[in-house]
Amino acid sequence: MKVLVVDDEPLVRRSLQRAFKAKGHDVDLAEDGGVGLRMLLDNSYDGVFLDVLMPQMTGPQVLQSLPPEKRQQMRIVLMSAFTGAIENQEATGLADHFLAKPFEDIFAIVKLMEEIVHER
Amino acid sequence: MPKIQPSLASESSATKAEDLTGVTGTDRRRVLFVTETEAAADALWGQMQTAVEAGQHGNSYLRFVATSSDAGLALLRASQIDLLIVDQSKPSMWIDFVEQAHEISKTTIVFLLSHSWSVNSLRDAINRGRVFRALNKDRPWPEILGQIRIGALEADLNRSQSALMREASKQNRELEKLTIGLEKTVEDRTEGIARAKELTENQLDQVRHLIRLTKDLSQNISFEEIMSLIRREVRGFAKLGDPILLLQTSTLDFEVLSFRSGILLESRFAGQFGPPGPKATADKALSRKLANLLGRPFMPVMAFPLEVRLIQKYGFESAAAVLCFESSLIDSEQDSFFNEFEKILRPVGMAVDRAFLEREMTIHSLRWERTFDGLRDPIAVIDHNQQVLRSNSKFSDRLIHRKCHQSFAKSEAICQGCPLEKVLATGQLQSALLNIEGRQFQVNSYPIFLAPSQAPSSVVNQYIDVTHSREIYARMLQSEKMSALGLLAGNIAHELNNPLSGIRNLTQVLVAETVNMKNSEGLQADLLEIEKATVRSQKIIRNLLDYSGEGEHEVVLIDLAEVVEKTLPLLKTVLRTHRLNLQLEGRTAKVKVDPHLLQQVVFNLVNNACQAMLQTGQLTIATGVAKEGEGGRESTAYLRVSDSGQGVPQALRDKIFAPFFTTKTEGQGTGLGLSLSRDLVRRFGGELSLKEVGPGACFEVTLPIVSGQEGGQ
Repeated sequence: MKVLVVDDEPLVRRSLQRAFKAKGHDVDLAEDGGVGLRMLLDNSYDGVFLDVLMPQMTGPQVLQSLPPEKRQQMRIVLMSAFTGAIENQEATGLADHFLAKPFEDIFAIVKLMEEIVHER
Repeated sequence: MPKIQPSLASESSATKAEDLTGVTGTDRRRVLFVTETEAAADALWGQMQTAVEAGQHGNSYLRFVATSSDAGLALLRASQIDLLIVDQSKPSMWIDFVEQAHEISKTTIVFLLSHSWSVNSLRDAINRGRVFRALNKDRPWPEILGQIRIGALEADLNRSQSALMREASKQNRELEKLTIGLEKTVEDRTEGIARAKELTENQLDQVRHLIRLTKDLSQNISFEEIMSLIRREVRGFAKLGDPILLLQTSTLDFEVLSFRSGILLESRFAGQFGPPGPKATADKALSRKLANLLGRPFMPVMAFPLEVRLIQKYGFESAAAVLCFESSLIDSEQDSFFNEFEKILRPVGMAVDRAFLEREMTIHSLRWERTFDGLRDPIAVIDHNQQVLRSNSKFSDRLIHRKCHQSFAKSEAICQGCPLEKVLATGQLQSALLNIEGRQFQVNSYPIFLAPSQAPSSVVNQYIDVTHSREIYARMLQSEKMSALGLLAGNIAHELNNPLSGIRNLTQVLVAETVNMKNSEGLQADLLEIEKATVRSQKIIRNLLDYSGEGEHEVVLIDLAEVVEKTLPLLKTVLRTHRLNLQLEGRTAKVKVDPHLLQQVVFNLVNNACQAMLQTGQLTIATGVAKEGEGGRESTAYLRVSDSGQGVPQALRDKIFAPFFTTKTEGQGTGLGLSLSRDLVRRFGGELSLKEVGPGACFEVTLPIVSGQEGGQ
């Protein structure tokens, strides 16, 4: 399974990378929305972790910039420390799942992603 | 009848002929010869002239001749005859003549000459005729002439005697006249003096009366007394009405003071009564005006403008006073009244002036007093010794003033921050915020200068009660602060959450990796501690978010123990030096509150309690259900925060919930904590009160339980 983590917080990127690699998955990292979008267009991933609030480009903006056929190839999980508004509106329509930060258990997240990707 | 000789002719001729001695006619003895013929007279005259010339007779003679008795009597009547010489042959025939001659002129010396004397005729001549000498013509001439000389001397004597008598009587008459004149003068004088005395006494009486009246007027200060005095004064003039006083108080209104059945009435009217007509006449225009004003018929009115300089001097420039009388006096009576009244017009004017000024001043000062009393704010004039000189009723109900802090702040000490000294020193307006009797006053202190260029002698203080507005302002500030804190907390929480989240997750990864490693127990335990610390940190952040109201303010069902638990993490710093004793019970008793607001209350109470304990103390937070009444349905949940400090002094117990009450020094606290907390608790139907337990203070929040045991989650 190939996973992309788009988050401006290095510790979040690093912890997710380590957790997925520990489970034998490939992980790419992007530090903001712009870099993330380019990597999404250039490569193909099974699952994507996308932070909502990021400098330059937010998570939903990245999703909106993706061609529909590209979007269909992958599972998207939006993440945010601000719960509430986004959870109910855009995220549900745009993403396959929504995660509130902080994560109680990182391996539960890995498991969640594996399940979503395999459902397909 | 013998014919009268033209005697004057003969006299004049004789005078001219015989006046040889040079003496004046009046000095010569007048001698009347009554003879039978003129020749006989001439013969006698010749003898006498001889004797005169011989110097035997002294003075000369003036001759008159009559040849009949009638002519002789006529001459006797006509002239003053000194000597009468009757030469007749029959003397007895001439006794009647000489008797008549004597009747006519008693001083005339009479000689009767004859040749033939009988005893009878001699007796008659002497007794009846009262002749000086009865002479026998037969005797020699020298003898006869000698006798005539004696008679002549006698006549001289008679003459001078009579002249003396005449003179004496004339002088007597003059003396008499003089005496009469003198008497009259004395009489006149006496009368004059008596009259003058009477007049003087009258004048003196008038002056005394005037003095008494002036004194009375000066002692009486009310219009009623003055008017009564005037009324008494003019009582003598029956055709004069009671006095009426017109007072122009300002240009806008005037007053009419008049008697009605003996009582002085004051009526106020708008406008001006206008200048009165000439003084000496009854003013009909004025009487018409008065009739209109007072609503009764008026006789012609006499008006006396009064001088009211005093009141004009004191700033009532338009003040004027006119004294009026209704009058049916006729012209002459009017004059006498004017003369009489003129005298007292001045003292009356002065008395009215004084009373007028006094009344206007009283009204003036009363108006000021009412103005100040009408103001909402307390106002007081205070001198440099804090002595209150004057104040309005909002400041103090007392009339006798004490020091401002005694009267207003009910304190023996000068209020902290009092601007008085500074105002007196600088002469500039100063404002200060004073806490007086649990209320906040903005005191505006204005200097009062009695004389320009001098230092202010006193100040006028205006006390504006800003308690309410300050409270509103402070609460606004507080809520602003809370929302700012909320925003800040939200940002901080977000910023911290991300790295914390990363740390925690990474730690979890590391822990998982160490599971299969050898001798990794120590490392794993360290990593687990790190994870726990991140968990604790995240919890604090969540609580901070909750406390600051991040998210919606909602009224929810919650138990007080939970509220306390959520608040405690935020109080770790203040609690650090004290021992905390938690007795959290009654978790099933839910109350309906906004947890964030109640958290603020707990925060305040714990914060206060910690500050009240100087050294390390014991803080107890207890929650539970108060067992109230038998039914228990109306029972309440409580939350108590008690400390081991000094407790609240009895004197302050009533004040601690008042806004801005604080025992902390300036800048350490707003004085709003307890006040705000009580308001918040009351908002949810509860109460915050000070419990009387233990040595320390114990504050208790009670709230009605909405869902009891059965409503537990």
